Amino acid sequence: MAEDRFFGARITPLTRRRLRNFVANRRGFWSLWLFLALFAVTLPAEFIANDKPLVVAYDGGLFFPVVKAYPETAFGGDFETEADYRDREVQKLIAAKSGWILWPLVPYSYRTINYDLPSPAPSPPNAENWLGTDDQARDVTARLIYGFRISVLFGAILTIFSSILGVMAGAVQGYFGGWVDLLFQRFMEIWSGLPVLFLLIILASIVEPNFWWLLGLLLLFSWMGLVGVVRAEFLRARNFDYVRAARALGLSDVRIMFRHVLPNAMVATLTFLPFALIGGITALTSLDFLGFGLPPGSASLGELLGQGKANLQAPWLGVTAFVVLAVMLSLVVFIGEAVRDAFDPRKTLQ
Amino acid sequence: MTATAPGFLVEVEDVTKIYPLPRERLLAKPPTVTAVAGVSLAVKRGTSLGLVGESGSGKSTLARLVMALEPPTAGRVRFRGTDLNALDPTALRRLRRHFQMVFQDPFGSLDPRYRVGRIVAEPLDALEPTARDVRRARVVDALQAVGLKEGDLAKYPHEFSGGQRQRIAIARALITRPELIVADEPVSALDLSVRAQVLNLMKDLAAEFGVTYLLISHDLAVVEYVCDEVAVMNRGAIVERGSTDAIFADPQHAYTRNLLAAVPKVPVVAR
Repeated sequence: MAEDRFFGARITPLTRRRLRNFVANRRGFWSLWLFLALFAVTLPAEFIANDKPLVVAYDGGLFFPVVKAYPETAFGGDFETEADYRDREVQKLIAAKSGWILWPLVPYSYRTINYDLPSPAPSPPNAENWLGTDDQARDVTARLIYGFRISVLFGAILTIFSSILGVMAGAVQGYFGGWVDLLFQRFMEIWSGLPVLFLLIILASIVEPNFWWLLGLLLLFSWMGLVGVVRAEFLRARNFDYVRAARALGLSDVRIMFRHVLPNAMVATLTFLPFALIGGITALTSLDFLGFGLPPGSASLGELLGQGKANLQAPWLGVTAFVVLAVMLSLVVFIGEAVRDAFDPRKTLQ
Repeated sequence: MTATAPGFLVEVEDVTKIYPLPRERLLAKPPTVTAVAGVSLAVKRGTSLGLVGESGSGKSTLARLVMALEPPTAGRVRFRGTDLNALDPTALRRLRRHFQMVFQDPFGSLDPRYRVGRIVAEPLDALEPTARDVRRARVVDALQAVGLKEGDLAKYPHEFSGGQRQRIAIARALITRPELIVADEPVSALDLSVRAQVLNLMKDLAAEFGVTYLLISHDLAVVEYVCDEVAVMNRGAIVERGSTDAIFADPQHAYTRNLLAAVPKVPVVAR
């Protein structure tokens, strides 16, 4: 029998069927590519949207301001501080020694303030600021790129960690059952009753929440999403004959859980992941919108939504944030649907 | 394997197992069912014991107690003189290489996700990790001992028939070279035509590897074929025990007689 391979890895006929089912859902399939493309574009955001040039040629030498900070004196200026390449004086200095500047696609960083706007901030879209600026004269396009990246990364990291925690918690409960299960379930009922938002507000007044603080805090509550499914799968699988057999043959509990029971729970877990990702992104966005999220000044979609609400006279803010969020979340939902189809044992190909 | 210590491989001393049933009323004590009631028996090295009885007579529970998969409510189970339930979990797990188990349903007892090579090697990996080549050699040995080929290593359980799967399960139980194999209805899920094959195999392996069986079956013919001694169980207690020949020739207890009488006889039609 010829071995079936997928990107070099040996796969079973079942995996092959799941892949086919996934591809057969065209909407989900294209959503995956579109989402990956958007993520791939925004991942190196510093190279796409930055107020530092990619390459500067000056006096016969090449400089890479994106990756390295050069003092203004390197270009014949007066200051020891890092050169401000948007400054016309600096640009003149570089041009004077037959130099040139290669800018990123969007010559603004998420915190670059555009001082020469044609109209007061928030200014409407024009050739320079494609999606306009927000009320602090920062380029919306640049903030979107950075905001998209941080949303996806935050959601992904939160999803990964809460899946690991959730699977472990569900596994322990389902596998051992009895009192462990009973007490753990009661603990979770109490824990899930804690008001997350109030905790965050209280915490925001004590520490300044940054990316990792928020991640940890949301993680405290988000891991419970998966426990139910995983616990159910473990409760079911621990009575499978081959699990009992493994116990009789002398395998350790950890080994049985990982090798024989966990694979049964993987389908439920994987199907759940895209929807957990949506939950994570939405949570961060709503916290940012309310002002309890990432520190002031950071690029985020929620903050942009908040600006749109505060500046109804500048509809490009709200509309942009809305469209980007809607597209992003819809893509992930479509991917999630395709994943669900792929793992559906009743779904067969025509 | 020669018996170094004289006497018994397994000693079951006055073992009782009581299961609680679901509560009927909130404040009343839950009702119980006594699956095994004060059973004592001993298995000598090299003398396979068959345990027969009708459904619900407690024979499978007794098998699980002997395998120390459950603690008895009262009494002791000793394997090679060690009280299994007094051991800590790790020590018990390590001792399991000397007593392994074959299950009834060969379609359920093999994890469908793994290849045969890995399934058979699993007790070895868990109990006595060995070098790759030694491990492979032992897996191949075990597979060949049960009449399978080296080429079957890379196949999945679903590619085999029921009889072959039960052979795989036996190979898995054999791989740690155990002294005792507890077989719980090892052929009752198999077609009549392959039962004989598997039973013959079990007999051969007993001779070749010196394995002692504790064979649980409701089928008297199976026990008669493989075992040297028989214990008859009814309602959680052993009602009669003796050598296979003696019991089949001259049953003493009424229940045993009923059991034997219940075996359908094929009438010999005169032509």
